[in-house]
Amino acid sequence: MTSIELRLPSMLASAAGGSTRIRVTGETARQALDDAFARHPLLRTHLLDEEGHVREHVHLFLNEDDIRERLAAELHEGDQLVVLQQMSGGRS
Amino acid sequence: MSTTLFVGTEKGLFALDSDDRRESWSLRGPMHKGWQVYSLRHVARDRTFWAGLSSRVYGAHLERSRDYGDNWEPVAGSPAFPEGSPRKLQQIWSLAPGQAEGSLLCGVAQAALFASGDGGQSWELNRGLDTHPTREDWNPGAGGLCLHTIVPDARDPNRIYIGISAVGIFRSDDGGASWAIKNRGVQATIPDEDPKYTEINRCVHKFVQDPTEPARLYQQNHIGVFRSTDGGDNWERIENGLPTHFGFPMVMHPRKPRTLFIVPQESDQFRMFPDGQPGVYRTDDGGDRWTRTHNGLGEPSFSGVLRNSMAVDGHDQPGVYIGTTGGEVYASYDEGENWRRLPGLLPRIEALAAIER
Repeated sequence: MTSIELRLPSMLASAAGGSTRIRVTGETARQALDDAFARHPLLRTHLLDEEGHVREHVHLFLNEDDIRERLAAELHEGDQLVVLQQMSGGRS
Repeated sequence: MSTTLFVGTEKGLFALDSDDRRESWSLRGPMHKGWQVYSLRHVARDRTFWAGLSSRVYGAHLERSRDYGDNWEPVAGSPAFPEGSPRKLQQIWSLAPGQAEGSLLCGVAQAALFASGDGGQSWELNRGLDTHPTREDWNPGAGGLCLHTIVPDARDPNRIYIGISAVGIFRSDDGGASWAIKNRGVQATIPDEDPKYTEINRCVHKFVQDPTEPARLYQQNHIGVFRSTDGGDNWERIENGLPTHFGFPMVMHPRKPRTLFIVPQESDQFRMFPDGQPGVYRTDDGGDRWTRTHNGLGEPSFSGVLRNSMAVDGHDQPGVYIGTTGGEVYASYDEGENWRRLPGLLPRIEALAAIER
């Protein structure tokens, strides 16, 4: 299992025990997210929609690459998985 | 005895703390910065304060505090539709203690009711409402398909009322197992010449029950203000003295029967105080006559007051509070005769709740 850092926007810190950076493990991005969801169930609520897809206005970057459509992407030591809010999702 | 007034806004939660005389107020916050806070509820028997948080990006969850907002605990088991559900949980609009010990109810958009039997740790979708024969014909209004009002009956432990925008009022007489539509006498918001269900498409914005006379209900609707004297079976208009029929909030006086407050606004197109003249309207006779109160409300004002943005506290001389879409909070301690502005210019105000301390 590969251990990497998951970085979250500050709005999601309370759903992750108060931290915007947590260690997660998995061979793929999806497994790493599932590891985070197992410990912090509200993260699942906030990152995935009712159909289990990444929410429409949430982006997931593995280092420099947007992988919201490629959650099977393999992880390597030192990777960072970053949650970003799509700018079009905001208002006012 | 002091008051803490929680103020839910489009961008977070604030609290205004008063001194014992409610003369001096200080502002705390923002808490839950960035989250929309559409629902607030103090559950006195559990000494717990609840906030419903939502985000257009991240969905919604509940938070609770046991120390008047100094510390918060996110609820991991917050209301959620089952995976694969065709419905989306967009916002949390209403929270209410149920009649049974440990029972809590929560209303959300897209219109659904959730119930907790363990003090809010875990929640279950109310299937009776979700499978109502008319359910697939409910269509959202401008604020979404929101279940914004929950009124457990003041006397009958098996009776619950709910209100859904652009659909109407429902009543359950069996603890939530089944639901009957209670819109008779209220006209459709958008007349449909050949509706599949003639009883829905009634856009209730807020309703209240008079706890001293539980058969008496009052509703601010999209198209007018109405009263029922038979538990919602029939409704009649009560608009004598009002400048407009459109508005959102409605609260009961906590001690005086038949005394309540509303905030009329200029039409559904403009949704602001009529002609820039703010007014909170009070009736002392169950809606036979409404009187404008406005002394101290800043004029002219072209903001408005949303459905959850009026509250009362429990002092002997109750405080009545409004929060405007312009981010101002006003208080009155004499049933609206005089208003004072409380500190802060906040984001658009979505919800208020007052707690005596």
